Amino acid sequence: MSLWAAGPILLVAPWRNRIRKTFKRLKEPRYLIGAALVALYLFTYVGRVLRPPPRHGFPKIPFDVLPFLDAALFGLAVIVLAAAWLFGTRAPLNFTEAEVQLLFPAPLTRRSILHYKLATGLLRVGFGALVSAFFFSRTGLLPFWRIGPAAWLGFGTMWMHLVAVGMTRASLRQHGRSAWRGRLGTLAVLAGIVALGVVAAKRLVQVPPVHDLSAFPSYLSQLLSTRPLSWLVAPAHALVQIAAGHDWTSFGHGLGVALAVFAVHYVWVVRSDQAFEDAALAAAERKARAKESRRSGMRAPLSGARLRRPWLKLQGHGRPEWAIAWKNAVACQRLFVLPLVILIASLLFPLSALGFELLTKQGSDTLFVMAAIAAGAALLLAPLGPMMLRADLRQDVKQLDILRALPLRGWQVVLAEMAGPWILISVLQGALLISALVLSAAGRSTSFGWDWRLAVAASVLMVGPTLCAAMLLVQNAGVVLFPAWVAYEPGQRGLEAMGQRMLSLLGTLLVSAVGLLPGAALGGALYLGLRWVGLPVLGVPVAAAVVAIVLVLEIALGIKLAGRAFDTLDVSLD
Amino acid sequence: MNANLTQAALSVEGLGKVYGDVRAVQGLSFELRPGEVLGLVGPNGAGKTSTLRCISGILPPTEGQVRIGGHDLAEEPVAAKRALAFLPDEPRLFEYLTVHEHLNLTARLYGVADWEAKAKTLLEELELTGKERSLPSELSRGMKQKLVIACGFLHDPKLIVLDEPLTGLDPLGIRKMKRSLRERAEGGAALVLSSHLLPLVEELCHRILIISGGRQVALGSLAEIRERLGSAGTLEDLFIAITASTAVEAQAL
Repeated sequence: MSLWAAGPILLVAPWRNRIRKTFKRLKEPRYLIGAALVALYLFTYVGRVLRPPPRHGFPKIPFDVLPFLDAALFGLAVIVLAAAWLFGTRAPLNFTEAEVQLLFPAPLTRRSILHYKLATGLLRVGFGALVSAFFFSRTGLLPFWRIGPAAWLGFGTMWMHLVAVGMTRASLRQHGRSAWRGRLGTLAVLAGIVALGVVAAKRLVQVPPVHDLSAFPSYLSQLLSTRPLSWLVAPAHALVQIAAGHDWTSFGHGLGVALAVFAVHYVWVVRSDQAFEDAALAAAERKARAKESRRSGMRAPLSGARLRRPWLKLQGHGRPEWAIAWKNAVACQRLFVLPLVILIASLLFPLSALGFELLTKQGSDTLFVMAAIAAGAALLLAPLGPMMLRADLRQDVKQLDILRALPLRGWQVVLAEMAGPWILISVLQGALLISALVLSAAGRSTSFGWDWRLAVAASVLMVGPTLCAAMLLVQNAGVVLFPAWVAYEPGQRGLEAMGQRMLSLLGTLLVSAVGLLPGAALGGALYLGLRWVGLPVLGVPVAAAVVAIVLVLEIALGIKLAGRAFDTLDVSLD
Repeated sequence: MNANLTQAALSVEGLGKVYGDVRAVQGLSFELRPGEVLGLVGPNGAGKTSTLRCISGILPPTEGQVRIGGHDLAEEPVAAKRALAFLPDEPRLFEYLTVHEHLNLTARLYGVADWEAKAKTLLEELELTGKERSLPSELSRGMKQKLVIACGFLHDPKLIVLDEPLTGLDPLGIRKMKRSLRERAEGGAALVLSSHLLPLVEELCHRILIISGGRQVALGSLAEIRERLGSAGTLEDLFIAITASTAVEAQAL
């Protein structure tokens, strides 16, 4: 059987099986409820996007806007392609391990394998492009029959270019050329594009004044139509003509140019069909490892290059719970780099404001506002931090059996699992609060005295970390009490999986709100009482202390109950 | 005689495990003395892994009692688990911790004094020297298995539970592993070893427990089982004879 005969099986079977798997999963209540929730969400929220747009022949996008679209598309393409040429490491073609094992030893020509992969890749890219185009067309700005082909040709050509980049790089490596030589070539091309832009700009006699915005579209249009820059912009311009051209001529012209560029890329890829096997095999193995990592609860496989020394050293003796807290702190440091960077970057805002103040010594109300924002951010970290740093039982959900074998009580495991992210988030909250106090000291405010500032700071200090611990407990207790509901693989796709995540989030918010209610009611009543007797400043920290105490009691009880559930958890059932 | 040697390292009484409508394990009872090696064999789906997981405290048994070093696993789980090492067939590691950090974590969890010296010896013994800074993703399957073994041996457990311990090891690794297991048994540790490699079981184990359909069908030394069956064959012959007759009985029921 040739690949062309087997092609339909290879193309259709995965989709058919994926749909089957989705329906099979719907037999489980968690996925069924999740799918129903997403359906409801789509019906109520996205439904209005699905209403048919106003009918018209050619789009009404003003002529003035088209040069901006050309420039934006061209700029975007330059950035993506330059990044691919300079830093890209992707394999030329993304084969799965099964494809490598099945197709590579089969009696097939390399070119037929290449064609199969190009066809599947273009179908996948095209499907994504058409779905995006469909939703965009519902806005009524551009009709689907215009954006659809433009998106497919645009994304398809870009994808083939990236494949060709991978092949060229592999070919260069095979011929003993260094990666640096390729990078230097890319930089030379980029410098050439910039030089062409400068030359084109200089050829234009009249550069519009900065304040005259109305003249800018005409200037940009002239700039982009100056040769040889116009040749480089031609593919982007062609796509804009397909999508937003005002007549059949421009549409036809655009389609012709875009198809020609697409064909050139096809020839490029097919004629350089060499050296993709090694890279494809390595990429397939990497992909399989990544999948395996996800199955064991990991988000992505780590490599030695990304390894950072732990911030904290773990002594060989002492309370055993600290070992798990330390493990999770290391996980935060190595797996949740981006969330951690974002959280730490939140400190830069007050610190830069403070630095500015120290340099200028202006002492303004703006600093005071910034202090308030920093204090607010400290409080906001309580719900946001636990959602971003998931290095606790949620991370270890696939390794509950390993945790069960450890010589620890359930409550110790739950407490220790929460401790890692809690410590990191609390330290950040404290740092933000200190920044807020320093900023408020540097700023001027006549209406908000030091008594109020200290009262608010003390309140945030008491409530912030406690609320964070409560949020972490809710998330971790969820894992212990309903492991099946959170035991999805990170990156699991499908509407039902999305719905399951939405349910988890809603459940967390609901439980947290209910848990906060008794403390908030008691604290609120105390605050009103103290305010009534003329002690509003004292009322704030007292109310916060009550909220924090009630929360601490609830957390202690929650850890005990979650621990008991962990001790009796039957990991085999989920 | 030393009291430690007289006390059972592992005592299992009436162990049963039910998953929904399926009785995976039922009525298992046996004891294991320090230094004794018990081979657990049975066909696929016989309940071996469930038995090992119940003994290790990973799964709560539906019925029965498990005592490790005199500690009831249900009543005193921390003390019982401190004396235990469970080495699963599939190496399960934390992908974000290096080899050295795994050993550090284990040392703290089990309170191992002078762990670094012990870890160094174990890494040398298991040929993992030089891999201390490697992540699990950078190790071969066999090396991952060795790391799990190193973590398991670090706290000198009194009871070692092994599920297919030789999977993924090369011939040299298998030889070293067998020697290491023998040495640990001679040092007083009790071992429960589940494997489909019957020659290995025959070579290492003092007693053999054959289970089929979740039930105990034979328990004793190879000689005792031979005597009971009146057969002089290898363990493989005995295994096939016992499990085939059990399967026929089950079908008849």
